[in-house]
Amino acid sequence: MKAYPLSLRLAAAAVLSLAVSSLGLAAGPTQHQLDAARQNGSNWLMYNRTYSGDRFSPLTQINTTDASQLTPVCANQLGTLAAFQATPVEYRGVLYVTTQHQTVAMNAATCKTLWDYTYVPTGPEPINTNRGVALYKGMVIRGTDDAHLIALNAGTGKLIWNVKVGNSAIGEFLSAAPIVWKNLIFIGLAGADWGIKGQVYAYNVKNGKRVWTFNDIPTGNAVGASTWGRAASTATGGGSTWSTITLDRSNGLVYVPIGNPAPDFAPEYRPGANLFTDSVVELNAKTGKLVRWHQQVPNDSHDWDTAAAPILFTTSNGHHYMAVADKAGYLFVYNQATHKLAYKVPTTTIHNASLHPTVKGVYTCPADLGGTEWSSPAYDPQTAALYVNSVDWCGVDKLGEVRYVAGQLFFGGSSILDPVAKASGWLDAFDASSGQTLWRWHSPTPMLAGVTPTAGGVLMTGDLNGNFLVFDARTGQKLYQFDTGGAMAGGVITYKVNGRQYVAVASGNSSRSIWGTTGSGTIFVFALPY
Amino acid sequence: MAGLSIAGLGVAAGGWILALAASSSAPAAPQIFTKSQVKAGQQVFLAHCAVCHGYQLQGKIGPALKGPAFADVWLTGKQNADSLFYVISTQMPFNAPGSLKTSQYLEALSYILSQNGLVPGKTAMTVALLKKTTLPKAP
Repeated sequence: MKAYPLSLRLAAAAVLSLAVSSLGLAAGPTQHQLDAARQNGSNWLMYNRTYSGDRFSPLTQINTTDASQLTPVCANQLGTLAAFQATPVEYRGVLYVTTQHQTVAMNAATCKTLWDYTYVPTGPEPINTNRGVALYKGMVIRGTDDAHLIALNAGTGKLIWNVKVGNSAIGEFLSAAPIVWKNLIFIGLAGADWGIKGQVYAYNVKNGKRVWTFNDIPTGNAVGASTWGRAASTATGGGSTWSTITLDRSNGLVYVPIGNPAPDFAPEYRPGANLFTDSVVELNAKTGKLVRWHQQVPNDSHDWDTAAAPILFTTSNGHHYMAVADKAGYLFVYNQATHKLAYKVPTTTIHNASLHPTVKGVYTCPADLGGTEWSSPAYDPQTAALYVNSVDWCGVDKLGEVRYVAGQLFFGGSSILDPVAKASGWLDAFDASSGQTLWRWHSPTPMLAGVTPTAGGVLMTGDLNGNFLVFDARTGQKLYQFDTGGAMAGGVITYKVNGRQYVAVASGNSSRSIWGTTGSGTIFVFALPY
Repeated sequence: MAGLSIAGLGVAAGGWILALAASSSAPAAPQIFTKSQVKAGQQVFLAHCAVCHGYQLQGKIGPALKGPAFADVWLTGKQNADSLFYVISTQMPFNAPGSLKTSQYLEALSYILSQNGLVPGKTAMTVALLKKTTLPKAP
């Protein structure tokens, strides 16, 4: 691992010899600080910035008049050539970021590594990615691809506890970024595509003991069990939590995105709506008890996960909404007073969406890698807009033999994607109250990165060509572009250190077989020149 | 879930049929592929598989196909060879599943097994042969 100062630009950053005290980190962030994350522009305390997940930053130093002057300040090459889809978090001048095995703390203004913990898995790893960490009272908490949950000392990187959550030999793993509230860690299993039976958990942050479990796939007399017309199929029914979890502090509910049912392409094997797959479930945070749910795709046959976490927002006229974008290529917005769908708008090309795969194959848009993947929409109260990144990629979905082999992908068919050169992406701006399009930008590549609006009137994101992009949030005019040299498929966050606003982005998602991208996992940090 | 023993399910005449995995005791290591299949399979592997599984089969984006990680799953003396062929032929290459010829899948599988200590013989690997073969324990 190396921290790369970037030529002359480093001179300015080097002046910032930020002293990071591990003693200072040990106490925080406190619950009070996490509760106040919305008002605190200086830090980016969790995956989607706040519990409600709207991603809006109140910082204004980088704005529409000066964004074109942005410049890279430093970079930290993490030493991974695999998937890099993580979102860093920042607290008191320290960035925390994950790769498959590493958890790294670095100076948020200079990129200098402070500590680097490498996890050694003890079981098979079905996947090679991790989305990020939760910070809480001096601890850094993350999941692993062999389905463990671990807690590290935020000041030193030393392991505090390590608990086994699931069985990775049958495809269970933890790639999501957890959140913590009132001493409870919230995270869900992923691995539906391996035929797991997903679960959501709360763990005690102090000792790593499980407090409650919610079953994504209900059986017996549980609510939703009747939506599985063939009870035997629930044993491999799927359900994943891929990104993170959202929380409403006012009602004490967690809002959990649940992914696709399994086998992915064989819906006749599991007749019925298949709750709670492709849904957002609302659970009592203290007990895990189901309160309500919103299903986006009943009896899914295209691997159309609800993968990205929902966001909660309130418009200027006082209406409360929950918005979620899914891989089927829609943005769903629900009224939080009536709990009814307020509107649903497409974010990408939709074609043959009502048809199930056949043995011969059905050309479908989006195919299994389309729509909104793991990065959530964002809400900007200044423009009253929702911003959504999505993937425009079609393919032929085929029904095939349904055969369960433990630990192997359980598709019941296949998806033959169009050549990656035909894949593109969209960045959409919607009026948050009506769903009307305000502007949209067509990207030459799928759009997977986080999208971050700020009070400076800018909207920041990135593409798979490796470009860090800054737009005017109101008009969609591109203000700045910088080629980071590696595909951007992770977080874009902003924070302030010693009075200077920074932007940290994840670059280098190497995924030759799926996304056709290369690069080396790297954190780039940008700021305005002094 | 952990005790699930479904090994084969297929679409047939509008319904679903269940086929139980062969669970006979592991025979002596069978010779189920030829040298020429291994040689051809190496080329298939390098062209279509190595980018994810590594040129030494050590695993990269995709899992390792050689050594304990592979043996612990497949070379346990209990796995039907047809299950492994099913996984490879229906789900690989990941960006174009099912796109290779059956002969190429058989060759790639021959190469993978040879890299895990199974020895070639005079009998060529066929789909029919795999259906009645239980993969041996790791040599």
